[in-house]
Amino acid sequence: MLGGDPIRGHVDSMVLGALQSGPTHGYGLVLRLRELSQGAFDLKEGTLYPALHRLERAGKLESTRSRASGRERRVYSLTPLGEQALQEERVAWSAFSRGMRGVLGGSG
Amino acid sequence: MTPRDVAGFLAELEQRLRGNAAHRAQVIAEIADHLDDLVSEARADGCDQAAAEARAVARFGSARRLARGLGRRSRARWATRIALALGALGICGGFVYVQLRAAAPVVGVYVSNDQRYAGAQPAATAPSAGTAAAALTGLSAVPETQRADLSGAQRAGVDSLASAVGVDAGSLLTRTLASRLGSDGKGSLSVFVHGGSECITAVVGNMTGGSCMPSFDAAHPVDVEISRAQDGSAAVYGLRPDAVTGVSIQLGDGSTVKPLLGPNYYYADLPSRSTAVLGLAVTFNDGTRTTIPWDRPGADPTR
Repeated sequence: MLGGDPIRGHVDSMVLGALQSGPTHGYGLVLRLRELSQGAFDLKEGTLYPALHRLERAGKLESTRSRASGRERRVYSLTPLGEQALQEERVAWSAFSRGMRGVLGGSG
Repeated sequence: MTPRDVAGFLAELEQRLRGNAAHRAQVIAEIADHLDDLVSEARADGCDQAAAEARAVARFGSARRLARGLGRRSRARWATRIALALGALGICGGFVYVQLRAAAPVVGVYVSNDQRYAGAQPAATAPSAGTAAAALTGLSAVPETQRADLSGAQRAGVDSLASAVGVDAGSLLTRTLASRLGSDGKGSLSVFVHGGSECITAVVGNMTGGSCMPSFDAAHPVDVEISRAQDGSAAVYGLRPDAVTGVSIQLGDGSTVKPLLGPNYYYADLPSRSTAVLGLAVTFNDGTRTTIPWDRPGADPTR
């Protein structure tokens, strides 16, 4: 399972991507990232929360107090700006990964 | 040292958090909820209460660092940090990958991690890491709507970016000019500066975006990706030069999808993961059209 340096620099994109399937709280996001990455990514909470608050300040996420898992929780969801940022990140990541494949000599 | 129990961790975090009381209370409540979940998870794994709390707290790291990460920073402080990061990027190096279009202007810089895109005139001064950082930050300062033909400064901008990462932009430009310039003038040139996990793209020519792929031309007018997710959703997307003014995606059931056209990309959701894509119809800004058949499922059909 990857954590720390290998995913540094991609945290915001991962958070946006994990929220595209619907709103959830911080704990739910960690579980969702683990599931979506098939266990490859274990995003630590000490990294997640600064990212969530940063993205919210940037207008890419919004949070509300909602009832989840039997109690009131702060739940995050994508804003239209966040959805647009996610689309742009998909394109940029696609270009970057193809470039790296070309440089490293992988198939593609 | 950060306490290993939940109550101690929350107390230290509250003490170190900045902002007003309401903000601090909101953050503490949120973190406390999360710690509750982590403790329950650890208890379910067989940990006793003390071990469960220690495991939960460890995932948050130090309270001091978390408080700093949750702090509200000023715009000026962020600008300083970005400038320093760009300078460090230039000093640390990486590599520059150049696609081409001769005598075309630098029209923008895309900084992937910040999701920013803007165009401006780069600094036309002696190449250095500091100059590259200044050029990049300068580029990002001008609104996208105010992009203009900057051909007088385009080469200086490319030079300064390339020099910052130790690459001779002149030789790259000459080489790629000879090998990749499209005879139809629909090619583009982009400079990609990679360092660590950052990917900064300076775009030259008709494109308002960039791709780490060979140049776009009449035969390869757009790049194409199909994403088919496990949840059943699917999408088609890619980078789009300015010369491409329309894209239509042809589906297996005979229907077509008009994607959203962004400033440097197009994007369309497909009806489902199993939807077949037969190809793309592309319209250029001179009114000509071309159809790209999808002969390599799962790969870019234009390559």
